[in-house]
Amino acid sequence: MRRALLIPLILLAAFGCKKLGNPLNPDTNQPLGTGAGNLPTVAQVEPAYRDELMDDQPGDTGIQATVVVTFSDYMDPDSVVKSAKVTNTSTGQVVTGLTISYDADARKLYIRHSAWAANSAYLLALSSSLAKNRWGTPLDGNQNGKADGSPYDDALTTFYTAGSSAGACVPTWPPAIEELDPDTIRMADTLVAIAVWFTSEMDTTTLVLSNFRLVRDDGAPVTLTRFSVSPYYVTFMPAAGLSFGHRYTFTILESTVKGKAPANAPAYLLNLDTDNDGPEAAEASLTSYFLCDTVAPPEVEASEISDGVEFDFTKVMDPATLTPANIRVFDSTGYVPGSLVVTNDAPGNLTRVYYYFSRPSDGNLRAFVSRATKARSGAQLDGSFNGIGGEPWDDFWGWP
Amino acid sequence: MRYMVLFVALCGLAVAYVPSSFRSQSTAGLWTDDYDLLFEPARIPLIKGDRVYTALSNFVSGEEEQFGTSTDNFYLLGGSTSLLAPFYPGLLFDRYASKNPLSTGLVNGAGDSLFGEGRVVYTQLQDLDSNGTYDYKREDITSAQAWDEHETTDAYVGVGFKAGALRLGAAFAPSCYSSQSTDPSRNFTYDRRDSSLVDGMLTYRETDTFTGFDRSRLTENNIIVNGWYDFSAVRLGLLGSFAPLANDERHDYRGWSNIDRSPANPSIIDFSREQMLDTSDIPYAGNRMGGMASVFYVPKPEIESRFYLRAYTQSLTVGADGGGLEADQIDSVCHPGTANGYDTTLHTYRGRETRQGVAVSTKQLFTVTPRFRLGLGLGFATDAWHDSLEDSTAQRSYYAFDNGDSISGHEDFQSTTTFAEEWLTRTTGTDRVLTAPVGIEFKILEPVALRLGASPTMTWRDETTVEELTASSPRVTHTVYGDSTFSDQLGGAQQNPGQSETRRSADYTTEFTYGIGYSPIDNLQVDLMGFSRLTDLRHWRLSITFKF
Repeated sequence: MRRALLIPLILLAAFGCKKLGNPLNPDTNQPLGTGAGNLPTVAQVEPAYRDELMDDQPGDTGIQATVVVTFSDYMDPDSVVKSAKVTNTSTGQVVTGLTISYDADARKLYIRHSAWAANSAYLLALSSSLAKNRWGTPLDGNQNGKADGSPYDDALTTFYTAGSSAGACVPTWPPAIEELDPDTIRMADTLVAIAVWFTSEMDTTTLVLSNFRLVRDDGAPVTLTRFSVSPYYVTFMPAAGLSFGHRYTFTILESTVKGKAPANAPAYLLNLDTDNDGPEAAEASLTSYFLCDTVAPPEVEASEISDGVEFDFTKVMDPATLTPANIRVFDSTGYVPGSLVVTNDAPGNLTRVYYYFSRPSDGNLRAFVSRATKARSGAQLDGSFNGIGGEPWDDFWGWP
Repeated sequence: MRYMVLFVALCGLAVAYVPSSFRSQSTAGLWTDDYDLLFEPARIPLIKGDRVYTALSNFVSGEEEQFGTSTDNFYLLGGSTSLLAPFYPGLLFDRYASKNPLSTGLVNGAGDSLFGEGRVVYTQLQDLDSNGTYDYKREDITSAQAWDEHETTDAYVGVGFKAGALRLGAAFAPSCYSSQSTDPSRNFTYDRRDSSLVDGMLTYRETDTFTGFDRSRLTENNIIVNGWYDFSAVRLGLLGSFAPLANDERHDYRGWSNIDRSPANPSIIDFSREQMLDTSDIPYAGNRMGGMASVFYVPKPEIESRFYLRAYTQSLTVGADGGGLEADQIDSVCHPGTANGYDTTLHTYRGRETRQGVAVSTKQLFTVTPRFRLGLGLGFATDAWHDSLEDSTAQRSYYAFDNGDSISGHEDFQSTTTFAEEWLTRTTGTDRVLTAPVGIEFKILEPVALRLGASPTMTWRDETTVEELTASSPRVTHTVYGDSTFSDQLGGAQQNPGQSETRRSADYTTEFTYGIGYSPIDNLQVDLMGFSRLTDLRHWRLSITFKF
């Protein structure tokens, strides 16, 4: 077919690290295509989520209306028609007498009833164990890119009819953590309040001490007291002051923390979604940590100088860690070898490293400092500027 | 089909000597000479005396212009003898070989191209900090090769035996043609070394090597047996031939590239490595069998009727190892992360080429007067061929990227692409050729003979080529991300694509030929063609035969 030459190969290698430029590399920015392997999803619903189902024949008695579901992929008509189930969550009754059809070309499912009950909220569920695309791949109702199985991957939407409101609709998404504080930062407060905010209403009877845990990095448990609680948040405090220089891990036991929802909401949607990617059969316990310390880790900035790059640290650094392996500069060609000159020229007599190039640089520079570098105090570099050094993402990458 | 065309073209090159004398060429093939008898071994005994053919005989192509510029550059030597009667051996041998340097694409300091095997060293010193001393050196060493090689060897060894009215003969005619090209864009080395004169260390090193060849080889070994029996007015002849055939088209290219951006410090790993392989081998092998029955009827010395029936069948099959592989592999350190991958495309060829033909023809030769000879002919030939070639292609690509943060995330991924298809190309055709040649030889004055010939030919050709996709698997890219999500991309699919073409043609052509035969002494025969512009000797085509 073709005889590749070395020059194109070399170019290929040059672009090998640019994910979108390599011919061997699929364009990961492309939306998921259609096909055998992709998990199909629901792309659009009418009426919209928690919107009113309008009567399309107002001159006739009752509410005549059609719910339209559009899929991302070409579905198996028989399976998708059988997968649809509508529940009147105001009464708890499954709606019967539906006329359900699927337009294969338009990828639309039509669910029509000639007499929707007024003053009601409805839950439409498409079972992922039944709905499949033309190649047999099951529906990814929670759109997390994984096949979680039914009911977790069932596609859900709610709507209501005249006389009811959006507030009457049951949730279709499990509660999740909206914010956790402190989360992966350094705190100098030994009696820090640990607050958890939730995305939806929680069962406050589950927001109890036994479902939350704080442990010091040496394994010692920390006794907490519940400071405040509401349906949307809970706050804890250490019973005694925390110790400086330690990392504390906060854990939420997912299996016992539950949400609260109106009657007739699917029970599995009450489980806390700790990783915020939709309901799953097993959610991992959420863990977060913070550092209790008054000593800030070293940080660094890089700036270009003549024939080199200057690295300014915020601490006096351990010179043994300032090695060519830990401090590097790259250009469009790649690694730029250089010689390091370690000084205390930074403001405040802090460490400054001059990196003089051993070859001419070409193109934009990129500076790297490994998280393995340490201050004289032993604190590792904080490349992410969150106050904690030495984390996996704390390598510093900067554009001088 | 293209391989068949190539094969036929190579056949033409392989059989370097023309099995037709100047007398035959200039009388539309009707009046033959001693040289024509050589190729029917049982007729070698009919050659009276001895013959010597040399480079002056112009029997390589018959197109050499001794006073002009057209030359075949072959060495040719042959002849026949009756000294060993009743055995009459004949021999013909030619050979051509060349190896020529081509431009490597490299130039010397004066800007002139380097041919054959070239090497260029380029060194640049730089004063990066403008302090008046050099502190950086870049050295590029490039070498490349470019050659074009051809070799052709043909031989014909025949012997006839005469015992009364019976004549028997056998011959062996091997031919071998080969060529090889050395492309400088695929036969080179490149070595780049950058170094800091201040630190005394290498700062960048790149080594590229690419080597390979493109080679074709065609061999044919024709074995001929022949017998004649002479009745009083009738002569009967039978000829059989068998020729093993082989044709191999092959190329093999391999390349490596290695870039080390930290050659002086092994603790810092920053490299790009590539490997490339491109091979293809399409070996055809088979044989050709043929036969000819001849009847010569001579009712009077001045009248001779010749009748021929010819038939042949030829079959060539692609060998079991016919196929090709194109493979690229990369391994690279990114900033941050690592990337590696490969791309392979495997071709498998299966095919067969068959060809059969039968021909009937007659020559009516009249010696009207001792100075004037007239020949009339009529012939009909039909050929049929059926070629098929199946090309199965299977492609598989893999690419992986890890951003190096030790955490499996959506940025990390492994992607695999597969694709396969199989195309079948079939060509069937027939040729029907009707010829009615006429040729005369007129002795203007002894010993000069003027020859004229005309060969009206009517050719009807019918050929159908069909290309169809017999199997396919669409391009599928499956990508798994570090967070355990995945995606699939499905390429377009084809359903029963293909095309067919049928060409029917009818051609009426007439080729006119002319020549002069001149025998100044008993030991020398001079034949001349291409003298339409009498005063312009550059286009004259001479053939000189020594007789003893």
